[in-house]
Amino acid sequence: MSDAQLAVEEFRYERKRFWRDPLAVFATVSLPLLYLIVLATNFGNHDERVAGQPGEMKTSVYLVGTIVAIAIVSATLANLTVGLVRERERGILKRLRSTPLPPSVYIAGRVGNAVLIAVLTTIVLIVLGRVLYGVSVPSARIPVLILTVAVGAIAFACMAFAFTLAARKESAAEPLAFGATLTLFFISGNFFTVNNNTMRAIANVFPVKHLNQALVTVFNPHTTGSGVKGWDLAVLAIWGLASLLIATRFFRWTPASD
Amino acid sequence: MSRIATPSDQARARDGDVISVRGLHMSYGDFEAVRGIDFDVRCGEIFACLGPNGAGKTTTVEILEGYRARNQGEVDVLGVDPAAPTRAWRARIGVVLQSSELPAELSVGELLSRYAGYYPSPRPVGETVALVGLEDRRDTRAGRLSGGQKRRLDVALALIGDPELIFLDEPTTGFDPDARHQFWELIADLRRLGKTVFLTTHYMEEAEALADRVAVIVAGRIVAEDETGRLGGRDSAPCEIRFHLSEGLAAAELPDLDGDDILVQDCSVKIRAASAEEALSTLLGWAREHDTSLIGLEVVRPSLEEVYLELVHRP
Repeated sequence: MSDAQLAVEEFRYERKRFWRDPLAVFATVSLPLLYLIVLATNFGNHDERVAGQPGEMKTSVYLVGTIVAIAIVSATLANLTVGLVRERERGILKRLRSTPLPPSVYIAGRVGNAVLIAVLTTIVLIVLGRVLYGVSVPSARIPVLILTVAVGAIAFACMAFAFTLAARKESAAEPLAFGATLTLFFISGNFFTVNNNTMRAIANVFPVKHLNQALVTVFNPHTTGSGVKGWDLAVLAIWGLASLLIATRFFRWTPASD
Repeated sequence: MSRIATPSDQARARDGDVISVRGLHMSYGDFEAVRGIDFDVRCGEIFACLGPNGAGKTTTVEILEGYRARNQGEVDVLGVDPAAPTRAWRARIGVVLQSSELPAELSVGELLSRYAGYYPSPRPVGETVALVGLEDRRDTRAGRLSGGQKRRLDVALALIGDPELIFLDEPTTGFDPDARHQFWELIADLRRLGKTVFLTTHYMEEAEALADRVAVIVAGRIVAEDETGRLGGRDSAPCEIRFHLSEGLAAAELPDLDGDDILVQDCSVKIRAASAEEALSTLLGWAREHDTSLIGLEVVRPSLEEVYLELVHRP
């Protein structure tokens, strides 16, 4: 089997594993759908002005953008961090390292599965937004949407490999991953727009807010021009690359206690 | 003219040697886990590394498996230095770690097919499942297997690539006796397949049941290494003859046994015999004369455990 075929096989097994793990499916796929329904049903009908966005948009339009961001971050950063730390601490990765499977092939399969979950959840969120709240994606923006989801998913997947270094115990991975992402979702305006300047300045340093801005631009009906938020995508890419560099140097295949 | 062998010459595995280790040292900070050990493992044998917890067994096996670096010494495993493992080399070894889990959501069959894909010429999945006795668990997810079944799946995954050399690090810790015996039969099957097995264990019975040769490692040093039956001079050490006297016979009536120690407690007799054959022949003649029997007669060589405990506690 060539390495490309092997990567496809790994992706297939990772996909099987994921959908057979009800807790992972709930945390990764169901929660973002729940967030959209709860928030957009309650607040969706307001018109609001969002900093950095032209015109006024319905809160439901804003929420489809930011909750797609939540879906992407959950499917990649949170899901991969928790999964990889668990496998590292249980010796699953260590055992894998004794086989001839190249690490890059394993990583490709895992990241491929995370990106697939991000894409699927994004599609379901967009359909829900359309059917329940009348939020549509202008067809001219679809290529930008695909670009943004791809850059976001890959960047946050890279961050996961670096983030595994923060959790030395399996039990620490989940609170760390969910604590960090949830905090970022709050200060980056994923659940409601943030007006406090200090909080916005802090959020600007981290990648989640930039993914929000790029995605909300796609859904905002007042967006003109290409709709590509070059700077926001660049910040995501920088976070992704920096994480990748750290991970290539420090990622562990063996339990932290070894 | 003979030349002086250099360390690298010495560590290069000779024909028939699968593993060759010379002067291996490994420290963690101030703690010297392995303090200069040498051994060879020959092709097709089951070699057991025996020792108490913390003696350096796992450090040694993980150096051989390519997981750990070493401070000093020469190591050759299948012609490769495991400090620089290659993909082709990894395809020739199988590893069962001391503790590792498997992805709970995949079935036995799925895991074996997945791992089979990693190797250039894997064994057939069905045959491997049968070898470890998990035929009726092929569709069971790994998370639902019992401890013994998980371990057998571990071995199946180590075998799926059809490796020449298999490492088993304390494979039966936590097993009940029945599961342990089943596991031993499986390992004995590996011998029949011509595999070389490097086993670490702290169970004497395990080494006794499986190993062709044993090295006892204590505090990072090998204190004895020999064929299992000969370790520590077991084969030539005095035997112990044990039996019970029938009622009505006094110990004083026992024959004289050429200076062998006789220990009598109630009716139970223990004799440390320099020559088991001579002592037995005298005893049997005596029993016939007195028209009595030596109840529960046993001849016992020093067990591996006795030899081992003596080695471990030797100052």
